[in-house]
Amino acid sequence: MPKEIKRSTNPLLALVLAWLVPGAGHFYVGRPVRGAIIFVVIGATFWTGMAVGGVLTVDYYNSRGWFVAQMCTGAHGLYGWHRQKALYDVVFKQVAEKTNLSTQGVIANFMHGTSESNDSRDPTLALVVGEVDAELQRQGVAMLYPTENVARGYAGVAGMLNLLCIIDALLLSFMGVYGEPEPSDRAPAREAA
Amino acid sequence: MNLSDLFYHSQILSSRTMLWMLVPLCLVVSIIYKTIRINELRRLWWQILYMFGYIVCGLAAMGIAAWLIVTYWP
Repeated sequence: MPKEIKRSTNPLLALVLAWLVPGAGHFYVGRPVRGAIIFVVIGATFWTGMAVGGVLTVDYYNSRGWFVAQMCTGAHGLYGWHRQKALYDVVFKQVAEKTNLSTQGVIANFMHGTSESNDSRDPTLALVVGEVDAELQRQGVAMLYPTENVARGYAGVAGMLNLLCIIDALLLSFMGVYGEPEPSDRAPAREAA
Repeated sequence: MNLSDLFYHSQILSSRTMLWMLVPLCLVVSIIYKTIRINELRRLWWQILYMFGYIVCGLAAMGIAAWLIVTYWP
């Protein structure tokens, strides 16, 4: 039976740390080797996706499902979102100047135009979506099949795997488990001693 | 191309490349799953390799079965 040290850890802190920096939750509950592996592997997976797909890998407007999964990587996802938002801010301003709409109007039309439930034939929606897509292609950041599947898949799977790690760190913290369990073949020798 | 360009512009991939990109993703899933599930760290790498092989062989078997059905189904 593995012996684990009991020490009080704050579950909320474990949750926040595990989300914000992948692996930090395991460092907090005294499992630094696992924390280091999680930190490297989740980070490498997310940034492989970003390297393949570029700045639009994290895309709040066009792929909400993947976006939610990517946000589970904490700081990685937040930084990706920040870069995507900065790009879209520039693009929306350019499209607003071309279409004589306000920037807010462009954003509202683009969000409505790219939503999956949209079946409107409003020409303004089509114009705004077309102009935004054209501007993204002009800047060389638009993704095509199958790049978008690979990029968003990598970044999204990194997020889902970090969600597993968050739950694990949270459960260890709730159970008051701190540190690595001892190897099972050494435990009987200690008991005998 | 500099490093910031790499993370800014998208790359062009073929459908065949997409299939091969599944292999490192299977490895990543194996590493994270076994890292949080295993009790003894000294057995970690063998367990990762075992699970990785299991997933890849399973996917390959399903792929071959699907190809056989599509090719030879009357």
